[in-house]
Amino acid sequence: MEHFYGAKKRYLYLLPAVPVIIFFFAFFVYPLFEMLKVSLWKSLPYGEYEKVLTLENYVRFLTDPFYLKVLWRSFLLGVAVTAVTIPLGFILAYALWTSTGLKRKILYFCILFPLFTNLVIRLYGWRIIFSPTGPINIILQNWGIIDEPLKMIFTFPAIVVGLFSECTPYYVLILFSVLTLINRRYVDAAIDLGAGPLRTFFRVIWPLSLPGVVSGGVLTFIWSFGSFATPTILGKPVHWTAAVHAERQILSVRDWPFGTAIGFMLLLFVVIVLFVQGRLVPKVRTQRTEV
Amino acid sequence: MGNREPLRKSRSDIQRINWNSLLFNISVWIVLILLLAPIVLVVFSSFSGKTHLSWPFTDLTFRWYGEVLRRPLWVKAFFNSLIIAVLTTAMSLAIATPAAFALSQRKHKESGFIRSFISWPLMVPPVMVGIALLMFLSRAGLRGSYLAIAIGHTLWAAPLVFITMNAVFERFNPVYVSAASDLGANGFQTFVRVTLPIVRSGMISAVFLGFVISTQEFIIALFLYAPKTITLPVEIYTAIRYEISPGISAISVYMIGIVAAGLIVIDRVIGIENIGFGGKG
Repeated sequence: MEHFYGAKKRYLYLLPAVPVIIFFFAFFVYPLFEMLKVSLWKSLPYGEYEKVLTLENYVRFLTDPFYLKVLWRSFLLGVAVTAVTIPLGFILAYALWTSTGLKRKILYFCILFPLFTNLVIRLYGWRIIFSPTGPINIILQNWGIIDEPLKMIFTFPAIVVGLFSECTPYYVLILFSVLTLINRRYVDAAIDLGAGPLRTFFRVIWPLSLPGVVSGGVLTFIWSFGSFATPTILGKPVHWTAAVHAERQILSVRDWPFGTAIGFMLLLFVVIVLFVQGRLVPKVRTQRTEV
Repeated sequence: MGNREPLRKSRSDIQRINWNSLLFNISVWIVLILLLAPIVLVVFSSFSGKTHLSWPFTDLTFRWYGEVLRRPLWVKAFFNSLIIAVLTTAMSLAIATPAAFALSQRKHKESGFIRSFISWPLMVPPVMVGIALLMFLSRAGLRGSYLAIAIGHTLWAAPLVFITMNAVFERFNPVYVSAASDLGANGFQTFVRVTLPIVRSGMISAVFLGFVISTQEFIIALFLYAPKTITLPVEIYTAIRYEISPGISAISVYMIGIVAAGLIVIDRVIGIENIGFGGKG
């Protein structure tokens, strides 16, 4: 009994965390669980379904070359956006880290302003920029560089640019919060010991900032892989990600079992990526202590 | 590069390797342009006198700003977004703040697990959250209500509020509170004169985060809205799939203006550097 009360006391400090846990269980975990159940039901034509447990929907997704291609393209999109965001975002986070005073304030504003501006509005801005009568095409035509308007809107690169501008502010802030933890004396030491700028960067700053690069990069990948708005606004149906197809199945086709199954395939991918990250990060940490 | 210099203040050394070279500065400018260009273009286009948007925007006019205000659909959507944002902010703060306080006090295994549990909704694609809530809340008869959309937005805002508040409480040293009471302050005085000033900047940025996240979000709202609770982002999203017009730009500029004003106020009150994910520098 004594032991029991002791244990109770030990967990008592968690009491204020109970509301958020209940809220998340009620409106997040439980609905997802219900959704998992629906994805295992038998899908019938015209939005009907039969409540028999079956793996049919998943088999259909994994054996249909069309949907495998969709999954593959979502994956490629995630890789492309992450590959662009990691180096370019690093440059901005680095500029923020080394800046002071007014320059830092201005950089901060330039990062937070797009972050807090509505995503739909920013995508609308990209639509104007990329459109055949938009500034890039008209200016290039006036300069005589091109005769016909370039096809930029509704292409894969347009989606990558859109997602890049969507993920970069988050990536920069995460990376910056890690950079501020770096003891500047390590950098001094490297320089005093005669390392040049490049060597100091690759041997000291880069390894120490890896945890930020990894967690920011993984978030970027997950968000672009599961993105919905950008591919529908800046892309054609051929560019639609698995997330868009899930939404189409639910809101247009009304095939609930199949739509939810697509959703869970998406989630499975995310879980695999997070698992790999979990494997990767401890290694990064040991590297940190070595330095 | 190899010349050794005596130890100097760290700040200057770190700036020496900020290759003040052209290449680095150009790269920073390119990234900033990519981040800001779409917003700038939306603002420019809202002054276009032509109904069909094409560069260069000529016949500059303010008329769209008045015109959109006379369209009840847009005004309705605008106020719906505000109502839902207030609800979301209130709910996120109410559930995330106590948890952030509790988990900042001790670091056990289970508190680490709860910490990561609270960030799960950020990892699940919003389309999934939208579908799951649509099924669940339809059965509860809440589909299309303000509350339903606010619940969805809270799943997104509460983790961010939690991260912000947790960083605040971790920096909070309880010694100050006991010092105040040792010096004869009562509980109320301690709270107003000691605790509140320390956590104030974090609370303000948490409120701002919760509010802005909600006015931005539209994927969950797309699944849960009814015609009378349609939010502005959903309205804009459905409109721009078919057309780009200066009217849409004008309503967008109203929202951009609110964000800019909010950021400037925040900067005046707590300093813009204090918004972020617990990063300080």
